[in-house]
Amino acid sequence: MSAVLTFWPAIVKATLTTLWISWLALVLGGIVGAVIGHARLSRRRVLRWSAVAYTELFRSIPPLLLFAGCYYGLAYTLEIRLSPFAAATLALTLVASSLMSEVVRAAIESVGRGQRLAALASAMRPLQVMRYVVWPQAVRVMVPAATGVYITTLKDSSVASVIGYLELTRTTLLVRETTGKSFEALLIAALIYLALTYAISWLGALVERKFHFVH
Amino acid sequence: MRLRHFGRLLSAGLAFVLLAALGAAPAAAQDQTSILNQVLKRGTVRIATQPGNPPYSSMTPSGEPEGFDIEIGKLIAAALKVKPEWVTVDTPGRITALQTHRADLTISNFTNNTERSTVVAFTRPYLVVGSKVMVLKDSKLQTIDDVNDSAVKIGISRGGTSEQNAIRIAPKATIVRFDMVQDATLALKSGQVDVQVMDSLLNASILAKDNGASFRNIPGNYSYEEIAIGLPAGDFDWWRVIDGFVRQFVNSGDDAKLFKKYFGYDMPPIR
Amino acid sequence: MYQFTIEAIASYFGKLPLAIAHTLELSILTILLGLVLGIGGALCRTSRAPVLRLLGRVYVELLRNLPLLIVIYLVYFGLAQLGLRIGNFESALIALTLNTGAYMTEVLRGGLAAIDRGQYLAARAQAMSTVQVYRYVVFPQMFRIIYAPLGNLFISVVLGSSLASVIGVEDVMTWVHIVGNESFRYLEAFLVGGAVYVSLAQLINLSRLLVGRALLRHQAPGARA
Repeated sequence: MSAVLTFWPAIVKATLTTLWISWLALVLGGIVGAVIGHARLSRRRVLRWSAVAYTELFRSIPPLLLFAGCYYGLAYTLEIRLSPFAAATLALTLVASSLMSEVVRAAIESVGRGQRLAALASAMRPLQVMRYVVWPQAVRVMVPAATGVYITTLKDSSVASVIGYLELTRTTLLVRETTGKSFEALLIAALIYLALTYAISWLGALVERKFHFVH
Repeated sequence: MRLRHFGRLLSAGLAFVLLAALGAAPAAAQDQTSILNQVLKRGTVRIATQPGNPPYSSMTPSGEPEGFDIEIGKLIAAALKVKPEWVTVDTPGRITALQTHRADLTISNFTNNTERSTVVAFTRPYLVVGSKVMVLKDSKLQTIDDVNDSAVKIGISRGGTSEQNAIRIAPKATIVRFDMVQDATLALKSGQVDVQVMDSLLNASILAKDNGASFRNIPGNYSYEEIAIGLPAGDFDWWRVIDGFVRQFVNSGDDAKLFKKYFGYDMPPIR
Repeated sequence: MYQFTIEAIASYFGKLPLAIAHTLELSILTILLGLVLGIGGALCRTSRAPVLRLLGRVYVELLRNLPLLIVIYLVYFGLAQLGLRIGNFESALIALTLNTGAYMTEVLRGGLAAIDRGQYLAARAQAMSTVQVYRYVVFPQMFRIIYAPLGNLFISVVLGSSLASVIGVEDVMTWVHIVGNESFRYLEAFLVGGAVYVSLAQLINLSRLLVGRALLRHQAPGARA
């Protein structure tokens, strides 16, 4: 076990990397997801259907294929040259955005339609309605689901190892070579993932409670 | 009113995503100037490497790469008076990194063959290797004919020449493709595959460390492979510089010295 | 500019059906075994014995929070180091089953919890045996609730099976890798592979809807979606 532990700087760096790209994916995916979520609720059929198509598409593609596609596939066609980091983040963002679009949609729908109409009737512009009436309430509903999405993204980040990106899983697998100890290395990785997901759930619960206080 | 609202949100969102995507990729204009100029201007040379293949390339505890390939990279960088920047890739990624100009060089136990030459460029070789077939010490397999059987499982790391060699050596056997060379070795060690086809020098290192405990080779060398530095295709100037480096590196004996340092025995001659 | 030509990889299409068969084989076996595991897990979690409840809870938490890739590596390489060697298809199956079983447990548990305990007691009061209660009262209602989540789970299993490629299982993802590496036509390979997975996922979705409509026709409306 100690042989594996001598690699702790590399492991720590990898853990931070994992947290970082998952977070990036969550934020970027949240923004894109919010757009798609709104589109999903639009009155225009084109927007609605595009949103549904987008969400369905990224829920039907295996993450592995998506990662490899973003890294190799994009590079060969549109000549968009992405480093393993950028490709991994892009792929994770796409997945996160489709998940978040559903989260945003459900959250917005949970805010009673009546409120929106009443606000509009009070001569508020649609953007103001969103900003002052709908979103504050929607965001609160989104927190638990968003926590789930962050955890999913964190787990999916392990797939980035397949395009050679040095996140936690890949680093762990490389650590095996000098030590030859598969089980210990993987065990440590597993423990770290568990610790991370627990920490995120716990933080999510904390944020949730904080929101409720304000309310 | 709603349409305007959505329109704005949608376009803002799309614009953001586009910007993010573009920001992540270097400007297309980079194609136009030569790689040499880019490297000199940038002050770094981006070298693609594959950690996990000691002594060619492995990872230090702090996460930095080290090894024979890495040393060569550092020498090149020093000669160009720039800093080396390491891009970690996996086996097929070595080619992709060059094709997409994500790396300026690939130094990663990279075999120069004609197929690959259609998409990337190679310098002259700095190493010549073969292909070995490794089995467990007490394996029942003694010859290649034994291996060439549909019940036999051959472990290889996918995307490299081992894959093609294995298919050529034992077409009837079942090929099990792993992500990394060490995955295949570990699988062999535990008996989950029966054979591993691998680079002869990696093989020699593993056998040396193993010291007769678990592995042995089926006699014979099964390929002739020139290991060279990979470069993006189409840039003659860059090729001229790096190939020149390799020529001097080999002829001066520095290659042999470095090899001895990392591999522990004398380098096989490069014909 | 990249020349996109499907013809370039057409020679590999012959090997695709076998790859798809392997993917489906792995997925279907996983769902069946995962169902068994899920039933066990759900029973544990709703049991009156605290030990079983804890066991169930630990299992679910563990397998839902670990990345599938780590589980696959642990089963294939980790166990091998401890002396237990398992083949690659079997390891992938075990890893996927463990993972699916955890989600299955939660789905079944949710379904069970939705049935009012009063019904159970009332049925028992009518001198129905436990087995009869489950067969005639609980399961029919539960089925309606778990049907949609089960369909989604099936889709995730098919998609998750792609990870088996890292230990060499010859599924669609491995096919994509082989084609890409040999022909350098990565994009075509990915698009074809992607199309296969998307089609499989949507087919499962569609069948779920159709079969659901047929099976649940006699139930109260609002059951299908």
